Amino acid sequence: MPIISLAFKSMLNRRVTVLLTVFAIALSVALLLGVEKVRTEAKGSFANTVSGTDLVVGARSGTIQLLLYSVFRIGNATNNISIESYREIAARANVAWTIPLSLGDSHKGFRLLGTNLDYFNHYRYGRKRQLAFVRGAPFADLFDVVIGADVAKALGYRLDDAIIVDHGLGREGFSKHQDKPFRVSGILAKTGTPVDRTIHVSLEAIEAIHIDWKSGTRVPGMTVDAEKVRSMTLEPKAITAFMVGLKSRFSTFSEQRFINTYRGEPLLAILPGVALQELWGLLGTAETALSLISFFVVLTGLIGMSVMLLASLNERRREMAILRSLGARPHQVFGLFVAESVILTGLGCLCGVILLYLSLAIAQPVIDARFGLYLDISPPTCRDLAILGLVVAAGSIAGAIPAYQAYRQSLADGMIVRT
Amino acid sequence: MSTAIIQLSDVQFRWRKQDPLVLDIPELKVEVGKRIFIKGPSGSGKTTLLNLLGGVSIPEAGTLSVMGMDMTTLNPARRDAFRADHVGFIFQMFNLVPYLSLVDNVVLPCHFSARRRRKALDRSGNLEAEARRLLKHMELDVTSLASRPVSLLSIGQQQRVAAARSLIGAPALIIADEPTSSLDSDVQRSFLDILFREVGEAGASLLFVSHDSSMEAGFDQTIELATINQATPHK
Repeated sequence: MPIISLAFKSMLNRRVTVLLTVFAIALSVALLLGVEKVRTEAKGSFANTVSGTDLVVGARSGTIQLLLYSVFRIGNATNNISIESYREIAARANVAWTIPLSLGDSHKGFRLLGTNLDYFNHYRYGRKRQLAFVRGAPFADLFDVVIGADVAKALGYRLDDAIIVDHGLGREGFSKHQDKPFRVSGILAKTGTPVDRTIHVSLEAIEAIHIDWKSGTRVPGMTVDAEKVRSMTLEPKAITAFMVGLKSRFSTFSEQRFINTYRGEPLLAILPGVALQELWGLLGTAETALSLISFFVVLTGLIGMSVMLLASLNERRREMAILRSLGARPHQVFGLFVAESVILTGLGCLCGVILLYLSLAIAQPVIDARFGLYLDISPPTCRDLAILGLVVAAGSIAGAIPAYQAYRQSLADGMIVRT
Repeated sequence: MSTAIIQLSDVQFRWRKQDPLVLDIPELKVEVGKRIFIKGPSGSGKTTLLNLLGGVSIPEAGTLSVMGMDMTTLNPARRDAFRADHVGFIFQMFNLVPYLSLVDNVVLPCHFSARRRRKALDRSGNLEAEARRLLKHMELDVTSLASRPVSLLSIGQQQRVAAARSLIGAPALIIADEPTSSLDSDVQRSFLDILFREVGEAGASLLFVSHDSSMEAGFDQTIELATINQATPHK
C-alpha cells in the first residue's frame, strides 16, 4: 500500500507539528479514559459501601437522608429510635440479626459510632466481605474503641493509645469529654468504605460519655469520673438507626411494610441497594458533566488535527500534483489524508493509554489515601477499547474534511499547479 | 494509426461551458519513437494539452488517442491507470516529493503502476537497484547524494532525478514540460543530451514542450502549438 507508507513518510517529515498533534490527542484520550475509569471505580466502590444488609431502619425522614447518616455517616438524624422499638423489631421471627447504630460525637473530624459486637460479626461491604482487624480485637471494655484504617493512618494512632472524644461534631470542639479517656483496642483493615473513617465504641460508652451532660452542656456541679461510671447502669434509651439481616430475602417487603407502618413511633425502613442507586442517580449529573467535558476535550484534539492537516494543504499542493502525474487517483489523495489522520489518532490513542497508565501508577496511592478510592490498574476493558475505536473513527471523520479539500484541489489542479 | 503514439483529430476543449475554447486542434499526429518539440509560449494551451495527453481531462469533442487507446472512451480511473502505466512526466520545477529520499522518489511510479514495477524488476531485479542504475545514467553520484533531503539538491540535479523517475519501468511516452526552463543555460544542453540518450536507449517517444526555440536542435520534428491550435486562448 503506497498510500500508507507515503502517509508515514510525510508525517515523519513534519515531525514537530505531528508530535504536538499526537500529544494533544493523547492528553485528551488519557483524560477521557481516566474520567471513565474514575467514574466506574467510584460507582463500583459506592455500590459496594454496604452489602448483605436487607434493611436499614431509622426514624421517619427521607430515604437518602437515612442512607447518608447510617451508611455514609454524613449528617444527622432528625430523630432517634427508642430502644423498645428496636428490641421489638429485632425479636421478630424473620429477623436473623441486627446492628444498632448510634451516631453523635466526633473525634478530630472522624465520626464516633456506638454499636455492639454484632457490627463486627454481621457488617458486610463489597462482595459480602466481613470487617477484618489489622491489630487488636473488638471492644471488650467500656472505654475501648475500634478505629477504621483511615483514622489510624491520619491520626497516627496505635493499639492502646488514649483518645479524648469531643462532644458533638467538629474538629477541636470547645467542650471535650476530657474526663473519660478511651483506649484503642482494635484497628480495622482498609475497606474503601466510610468504615475506614469511623471510630467505633459500644452503645454503653456513648451513654457513659453523656451521663453528666444534658442539652449539649455539662450539668453544673455534676461530674461523674470514669471509675464511677463503670458502676452505673448504662442502658441506652435510644439509638439512631439499625441494620437488619433477614432469614429469608422473600420477607424483605413484608418486614419493610411492617416497619413503615409500625404503630409505636414513625419509622422508615429502606433497601440499601435501592437507596444507593437513588443516591448515585443524584450524583449522576456530575458524572455526566465530567464525561461530557472529556468528550469535548477529545473533540478539540481532533479538530486541532483537522486544522493542522488543512493548514498543510497549500504547501502540499505540488506534492498532490506530482502524485497525480504519477497516476495517483484523486481518491488516493483523499486516502492519503485520511490515512494520516487515522495514524495520528491511532498514535494519539496509544500514547494516551500509556499516559493514563503512567499517571494511574503515580496517582493511585495518592487518590487512595486522599479520597479512599482505590483505582485498580487493570488492562483496558471492552468499553475502553470501544471508546478508543470510536476515537479513531471520529479521527478519520475529522480527517475527511482536509482529505476532501485535498481531493477537490487535486481534481482542479490536475498535474500542474498554476501559481 | 498503429505507428502513431499520439493522434488528435478535431479536439476541442474548454474549462467551463461559458468559457471560450482553449484548444481547437483539427489534427496532430506523433509517430512512435520520435522526439517532438512542441513550441508554444505560455498561454498557448500547453498545460491543457498536457492534461489531455495525461488523461487528467478529456476533450469535449473529437478523438484523442495515446498509443492507439482512445482516451475519451476511458473512465477517469482507467485514464489515471493508463497514465501511470504508459506516460512519464517531467515538469519545470518542484518535481520531487520533498519527504521522500532520492531513490524513493525515483521508485514512486512503480507504486502506482504494476506494469512499470514489473518492467523495472525485470531490468534490475529490485526497484532500488533500478532507480540507482537510472540515476547513475543521469550522471548523478547516488552514493554521495542519497542521504541528502531532495530539497537540498540543485535544480539541475532535481531535474535529472525527475528524468530518472519518468524513465523507470520504461513507459512508452515521456512528456517533458519546460524541463530546462529553470536551469542555467550551460546545464540546459547537457540535460537535454542526457535525456535524448536515455529516452533513445529506452525506446520511448519524447514530447518536449517549451517556449524556448534555442532548445529546438536535435529534435526530429517541431510543432508550433499556435499553428495547430485554432483557438486563441487568452494570454
